[in-house]
Amino acid sequence: MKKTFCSVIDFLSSLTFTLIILTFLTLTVSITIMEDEIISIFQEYSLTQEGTIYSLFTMFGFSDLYNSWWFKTLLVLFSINLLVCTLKRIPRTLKLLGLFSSGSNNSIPSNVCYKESFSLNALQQNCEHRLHYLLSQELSIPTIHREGNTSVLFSQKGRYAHLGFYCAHLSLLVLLFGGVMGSASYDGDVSMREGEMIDTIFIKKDGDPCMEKLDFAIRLDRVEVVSAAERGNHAPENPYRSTITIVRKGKNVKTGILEGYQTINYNGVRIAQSRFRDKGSDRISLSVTPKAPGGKRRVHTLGRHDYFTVPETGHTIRVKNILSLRSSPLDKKILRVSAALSQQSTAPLSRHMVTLEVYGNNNKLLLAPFVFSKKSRDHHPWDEMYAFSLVGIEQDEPIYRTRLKISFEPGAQIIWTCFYIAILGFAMMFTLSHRKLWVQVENNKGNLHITLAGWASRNPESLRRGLATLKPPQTK
Amino acid sequence: MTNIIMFNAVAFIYLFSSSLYFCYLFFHKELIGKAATTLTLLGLMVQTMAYVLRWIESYQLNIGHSPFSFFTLYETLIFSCWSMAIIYLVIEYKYQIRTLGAIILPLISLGMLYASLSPNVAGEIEELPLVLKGNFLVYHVVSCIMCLVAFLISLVASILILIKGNVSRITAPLKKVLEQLPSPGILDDLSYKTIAIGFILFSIGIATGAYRTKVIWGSYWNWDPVETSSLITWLLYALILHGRYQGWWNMKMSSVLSIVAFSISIVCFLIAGSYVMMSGHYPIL
Repeated sequence: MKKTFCSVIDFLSSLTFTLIILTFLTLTVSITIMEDEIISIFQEYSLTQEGTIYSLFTMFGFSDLYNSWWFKTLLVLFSINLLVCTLKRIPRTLKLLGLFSSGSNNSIPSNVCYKESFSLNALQQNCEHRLHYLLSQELSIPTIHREGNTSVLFSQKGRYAHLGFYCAHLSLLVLLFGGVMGSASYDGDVSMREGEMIDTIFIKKDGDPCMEKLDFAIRLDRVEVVSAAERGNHAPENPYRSTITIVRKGKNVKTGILEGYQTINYNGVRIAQSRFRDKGSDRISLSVTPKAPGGKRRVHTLGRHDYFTVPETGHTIRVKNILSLRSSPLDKKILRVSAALSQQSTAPLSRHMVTLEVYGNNNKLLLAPFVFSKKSRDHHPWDEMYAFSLVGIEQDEPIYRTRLKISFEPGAQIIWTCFYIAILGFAMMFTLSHRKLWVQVENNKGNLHITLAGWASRNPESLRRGLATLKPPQTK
Repeated sequence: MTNIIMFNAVAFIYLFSSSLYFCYLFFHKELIGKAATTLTLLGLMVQTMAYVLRWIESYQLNIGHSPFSFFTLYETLIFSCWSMAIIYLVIEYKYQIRTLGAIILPLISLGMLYASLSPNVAGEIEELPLVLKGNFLVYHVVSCIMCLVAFLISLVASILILIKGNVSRITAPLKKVLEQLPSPGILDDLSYKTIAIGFILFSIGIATGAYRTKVIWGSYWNWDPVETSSLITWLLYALILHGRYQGWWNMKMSSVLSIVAFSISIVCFLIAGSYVMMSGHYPIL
């Protein structure tokens, strides 16, 4: 059992396993570049209907490779490989760092990459003195171990080069973990008028619309256009500035200005501006009657992207779009689509259409109703929950409004820190080298027998070339 | 513009320098070699001065952006040649060999001549669109181009290793020339080091590129063809480095893999380039 466990650990930590995973990752990523072409080939040859090929297609998740089970498994195996090989090297590294010294440097080991012996006629004391000086200059002050008529001088440099391995691999591991933390992230847009305050944003998670309630509110105090004189020649092309205040529990906690690519950060949430508008827009009067027991009819005056909560059900209803239906081809298309959805053969005569989003108590999209200004007698899926009708529509006065981009990325800081550490680790691994040098001096009746031996963690060829120059000429 | 005149002059300095390196390769006279190195250094100095001048002239034109913004093909080409010249001079100093100059300097002078003489390449300073402004773009593009240059030098070293490995099949005069080139051991060492340096620079390029993508388009990684192809290249070179460490690849195999990896990275670059052109996502070239 123990033997099997050790074999498994050895394999999981082996470079062979790393190479296999890297090969599969490279192949997968290469296939994904051609993902659209592969899917269209499958569809063209009607291979996505049924049969063995279709089963394989769905089993391997060709429609979404990055979210497929086997890609995630590859990443998990990659993480295991990183972790196990890093942990396995710790004892050896601690020994190399000299934290657990076992006196192994008192004699020349067998695994050196260079070893050469020669004889000299010289006084041992003088020779040792010169070697001591030479090693101090080249590497570090050597230690001397004497036994009988033999002395071994040992010197090393670059022990901490081994830390590069840990920096690189552990940071990659934590980077993957940071990526997993990214699943808790969100990113949404919110359109606000001057003076408006919001505490909810509407986002998409895994492609599904949902809403995210912030634990603070954002108030747009002011939107102003920055004059050309103030901008100068190098200002951003979108010349507006938004002043926002973060409000928490009724108190103003932070005020900031957003201009160009500037951002404001609060509690890990990042706020930036993306667009602005200074024209008027439509505002509707929407009547909403929940069919729940005790439901009361209420009329709300709303603009595009405004939202409200229905007290009886706890649902949040948001105005997605307000469309003025004229005679443009797009409007006719919308009418045709909405007619098809409501299973009517002719589109209702209607000048306006409002699309809504109803979010349930789990913050996920429940319904996507649409309401025409002219009432329709057709039955819709949302009729069992709500009765909607457009009471009126009017043009809003021109007012500055800004579109804010609100994002929360809990793993972002971790990922960035790990990137920097990984790069530092790569630089240490590829540029630093741990070098050890032994010089054994054996006094054989006045004749000195010297053995030079060296070991390098990286680029042993360079070490060999360097040591070969230390050997005096015309020695045997 | 004066900076363009200076860059044009640099092209001819490099051309003359490469002919001197050729002479050194054939005649092996130390004086010719020193002259070649001196001329290359001179070309590099003039090119650096031309860069400074281009920076000043951009502000005089009220455009004001770093010459390392690489908005045009011209800027990309001259920077590639500049970084290749720097890397080559470092190699010459570290390894004390000049014969590689006969191969690398012609590549540099070709690039500079194409930038200077081609009617398809305009040298004028253009204003950067908003999406390309910012310091991180400079870090991103500088690291990506320098890494490509490093991989190209590795490719050259790898090709030479394979050629030298088949010396018996080559005619006598050519054999004599090849013997002047560095030994396979040195070329292998050079190939490994340039891959390692290129790998570090490429990692920096990917990180800074992801940051810029977040600032401009709102997310770090979109799995679009540009990012995916850069990841493929990164994984390939990681494979090569790990395999070398494990001892899986001998010198010949490492050289073949380096050539294959560079070829695939060029294919990835072309895929990324076609996506860039079609999507309108990156307003370059």
